[in-house]
Amino acid sequence: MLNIDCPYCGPRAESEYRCGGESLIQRPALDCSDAEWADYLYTRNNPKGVHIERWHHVHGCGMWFNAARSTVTHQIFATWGMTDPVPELPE
Amino acid sequence: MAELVPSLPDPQPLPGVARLDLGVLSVRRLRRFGPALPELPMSADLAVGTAARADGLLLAAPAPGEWLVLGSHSTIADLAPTQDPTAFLALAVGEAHAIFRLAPALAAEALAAYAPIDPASLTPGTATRARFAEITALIIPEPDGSLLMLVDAADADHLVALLAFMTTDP
Amino acid sequence: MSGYRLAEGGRIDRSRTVRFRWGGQPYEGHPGDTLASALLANGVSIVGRSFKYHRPRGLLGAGLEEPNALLQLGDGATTVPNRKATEVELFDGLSASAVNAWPSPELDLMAVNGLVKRFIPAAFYYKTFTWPHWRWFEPAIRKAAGLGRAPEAADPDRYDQRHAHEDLLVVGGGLAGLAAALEAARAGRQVLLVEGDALLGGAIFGRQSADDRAEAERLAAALSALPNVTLKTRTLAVGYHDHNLLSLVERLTDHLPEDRRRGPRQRLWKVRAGEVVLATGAIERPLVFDGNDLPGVMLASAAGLYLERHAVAPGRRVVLACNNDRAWGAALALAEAGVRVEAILEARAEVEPALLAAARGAGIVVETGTTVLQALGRRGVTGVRTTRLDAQGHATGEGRRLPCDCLLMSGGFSPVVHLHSQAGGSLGWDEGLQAFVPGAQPQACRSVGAAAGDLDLSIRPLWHVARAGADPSPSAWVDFQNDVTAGDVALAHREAFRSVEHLKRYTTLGMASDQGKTSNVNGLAIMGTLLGKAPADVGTTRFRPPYDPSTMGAYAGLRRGDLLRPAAGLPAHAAHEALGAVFEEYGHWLRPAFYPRAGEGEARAVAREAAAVRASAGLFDASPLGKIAVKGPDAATFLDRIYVGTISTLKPGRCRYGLMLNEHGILFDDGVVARIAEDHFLVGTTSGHAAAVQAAFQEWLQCEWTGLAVASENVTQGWAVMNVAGPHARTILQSLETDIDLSADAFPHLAHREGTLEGVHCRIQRVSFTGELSFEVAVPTRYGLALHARLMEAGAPFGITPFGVEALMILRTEKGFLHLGSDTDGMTLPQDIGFGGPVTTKKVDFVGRRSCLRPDGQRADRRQFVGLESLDGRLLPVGAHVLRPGEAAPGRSQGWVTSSVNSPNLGRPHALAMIEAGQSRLGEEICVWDLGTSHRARIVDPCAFDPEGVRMHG
Repeated sequence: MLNIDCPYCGPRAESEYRCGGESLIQRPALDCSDAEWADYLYTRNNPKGVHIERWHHVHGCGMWFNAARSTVTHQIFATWGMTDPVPELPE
Repeated sequence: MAELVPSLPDPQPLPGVARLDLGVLSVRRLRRFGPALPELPMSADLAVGTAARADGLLLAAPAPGEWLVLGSHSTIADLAPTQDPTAFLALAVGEAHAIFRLAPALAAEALAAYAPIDPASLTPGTATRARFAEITALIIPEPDGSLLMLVDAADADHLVALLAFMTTDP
Repeated sequence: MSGYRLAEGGRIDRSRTVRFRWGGQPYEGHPGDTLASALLANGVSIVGRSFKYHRPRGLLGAGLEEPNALLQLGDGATTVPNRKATEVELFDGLSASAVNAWPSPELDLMAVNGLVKRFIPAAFYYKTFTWPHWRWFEPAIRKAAGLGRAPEAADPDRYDQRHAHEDLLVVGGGLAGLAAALEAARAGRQVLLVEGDALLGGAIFGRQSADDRAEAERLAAALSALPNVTLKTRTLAVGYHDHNLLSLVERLTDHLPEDRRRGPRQRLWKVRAGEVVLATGAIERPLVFDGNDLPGVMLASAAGLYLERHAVAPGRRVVLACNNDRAWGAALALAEAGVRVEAILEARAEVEPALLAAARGAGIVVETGTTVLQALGRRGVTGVRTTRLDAQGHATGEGRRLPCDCLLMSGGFSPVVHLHSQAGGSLGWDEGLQAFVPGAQPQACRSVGAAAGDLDLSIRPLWHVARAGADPSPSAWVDFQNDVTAGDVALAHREAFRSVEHLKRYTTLGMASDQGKTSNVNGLAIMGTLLGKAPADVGTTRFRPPYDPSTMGAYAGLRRGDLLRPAAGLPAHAAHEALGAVFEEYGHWLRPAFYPRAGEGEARAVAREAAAVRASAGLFDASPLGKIAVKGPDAATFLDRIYVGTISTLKPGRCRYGLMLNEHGILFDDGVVARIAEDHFLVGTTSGHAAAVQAAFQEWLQCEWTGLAVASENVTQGWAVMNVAGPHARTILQSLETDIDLSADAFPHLAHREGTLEGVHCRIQRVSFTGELSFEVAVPTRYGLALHARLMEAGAPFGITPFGVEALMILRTEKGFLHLGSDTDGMTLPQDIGFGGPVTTKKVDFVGRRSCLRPDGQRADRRQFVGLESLDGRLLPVGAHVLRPGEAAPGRSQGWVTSSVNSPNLGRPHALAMIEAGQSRLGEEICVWDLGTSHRARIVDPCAFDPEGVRMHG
């Protein structure tokens, strides 16, 4: 049960959120190749370490935001708005 | 034929639990992070997560670019059209919500039983949308220790059942 | 063994008597006893039978580490299987019996299993009883190897749950925990200390027990006096989760006589702590020698606890076998209390002189460099055969035979590192302790006391007793509860299951309800001796919550019955009820399925309703249909990107059917979109899906199209919607007071109007899912009940018929109208249902469009939405597969029936289906097959009634 610091509401239990998977994924244009489109839909990074991902504060402000979380320890290094720049993060 | 007669829910469903019949105005800025502010008292000073009273109205800012106003039905109905339609979506949504006031004795226990949020963050002056059992509630603590809770209308019966379960001695 | 109560001492209330029944026999104990201590005091020696071999077993421990004394507590709906006698606080009227023993543990007829023991070692079921089929033998084997029985009625008890946020949580109320809590409290911290036992103080035994007890009381008193401290007993921390969240189970009434129990039985706490101190102590390890599972063989610390807490002696002639200092404390304390302790068999060659002197003073014979080779006896220990140990720890030379009726053993102590590990902490091996101790800890948590390895043992490792070169013995027990021997560890090693994870699963060592608390380290260390590896290099398996078995009810809490998945009632629920509606849950709404009249079953009622709608008029509660307000200068642009069709060309006051996909091109939702104004739309969604559609809208607006000026709001619950459908629909509505012009010219099909109806604000749309002339009338929720009544009244002259969801399904199926989720599934693309046009021709991109253009989406043989006519007049089963005529199953399925109804309006059945290349096969005869029955059918257009739509457009 993670404790996630929503940029708008502050720290809340994981049960208030829904995880939106990897963030910073670019949506290709309509004329992209099948391979590029498949990449967009299915290919995801699976790091052992810092994972940049989206969270949706469903039972809260309703906002989407980004988080950097360690896939090893679950430590959350930072959370920031959807359109804000990525902050400094550990390796 | 006569005008349709409204059906109103029980105003006192449980001891310590009152259901309030209020109008609710929902104001959403068309640009989530834009500069425009709605024509509401004190809306300029209302930070996200806070609530304030002004002109007989209770204002809350549950999220960026969102405001909720609680007041009498007629006041709310009058307030909706005064919001700049090029900047806001302003709807009277009282019918879609249910508003409860929990007495102080019940409030702390209800939060401990059903809400994972840290109650220390729920102080008078805050307006917090949070998880309550399986539903979402806007929680506004009052200075007298009572708790206002705003939930979807369809969740009203379930909320009362949760509070009843908590207070009933089996 | 013959345990007995001492005349003095203990923390029991000798002035009162508690009556209980064990195996049907009456016994007595005292308040403060556990069931285990009371049985021991009453001289009960065999408390159970082992899981596999049905060997007689006595008490091994005194706490939650106990593997043997499993019992069935109580009976009826509140019976609890597999409770440990050591954890049951004695109460008046308690009734319990051993599990896995019939008729009793003393005389267990299933002990025949022991006779074939050598044929059923660990993992025997992978290699034997496999021909002709394992299933022949499985029921008998499972029945023979069972434990307790589950109650057959619903749990009548109530369970609470609570959230808490604490500054400092101290887990464990022993001396270390109490001291840590007091220090923190005096420094101003807010402290919650939890202790799983009924008493504070922890494992107090040995010669200093009086001093330790006094110290514990002093600390507890100091803590109780502080306002910033909360102490909770009978509260066990069972799980350590992410970000310092711990789950605790508080037992509220289990210790009370049944007639004095009030309120919730147990409470699950979910505590988010700023910091955690783990003071969880250490658990003693058995020694592994032949016969170590005989009744009368007990952990030394357990004997010490029974003495200190309950004033019970474990036997009349006691021998201690050990390899560390701490175990001596129990023996010396027993001797001091007047129990006859014959000898200490000390594996170490040297022992601290003070201990030797104390033993001598107590008349205890000490043999160093010596241990037990074998415990003797059949139904209880009667003596031991000793052996000397060489420098490598192998049994050597000749020992002697020593009579005893109680053999205490201690192979060392393992710090309780479970919560530390669950929290993500690593373990290190402490060579001096011969135990795993807490290592690095990523969360805000530290361990203190014995849990941190703060123990003085001076231990000599002795993982199993065997002569040099001899294999670990199959008569020496490692895991008492799952009946796993040292020989089984050797078997796993021989069969190449050598990693600690394989050892566990192959032998089931550590997999019983005690989760290896007294067996894991011995087992992995024995594997280490076989591999030539240190225990640290063999490693441990993963620690998972709960630390101790916890009742399911505590985790369920209130989420049962009506509170599990509450269904919301409609605004006009009372009206539907009064009309005799049969309700069903559709999504999270409770809706009328049909309204049976007297003597009608479902089929008759539904058919009557469906016929009545087309004959004259029907009334349907459409309130759950989703409604989302979408507004802004970019609203039209936004909706064009969301929908398959084009929305921006919709004129104000008009509606259009819209289809939404997800990014995989799969149909996600459908509904009618109305344009209120240039920049304002009302999006209709399927019933119960409004929240999901609103969430999808916000995801696109917040994450991808962040520059669009659009706001959306789910307003579904603000409106009660009544659908009047049928030839007389307009006439009925026109009889009401309204400023809306309902005439055919002024109000065409797919139009949206706003105004006043019967004095209240009203929105009306001409949309039709029935295929009839149809008006959806929306008023604010509070007027829903009144509107329903007014419409019934106005429609009475026309025989207006309330109809439910089932009749609606008949009507829309007759019309071939798609129902998402019934006719479509997770593979359906828009081109499959005839909406492929925009995929190729639309001017702008929309969600899922690119996915539709993939090669798989362009296949000519994709399943397509069609109708089916039943050629033999029988109803085609939903889910029936389509085969070529004459083809028998199993064959290659070309699709299946998705919707199928007996149509009263057609006078025959009609079905819908998804069939490969169906649109180009209209008229073709096919075969439909389901569970052995075949039907002949013909592929037809989905719409079988009023294909021109004359009624709908009227």
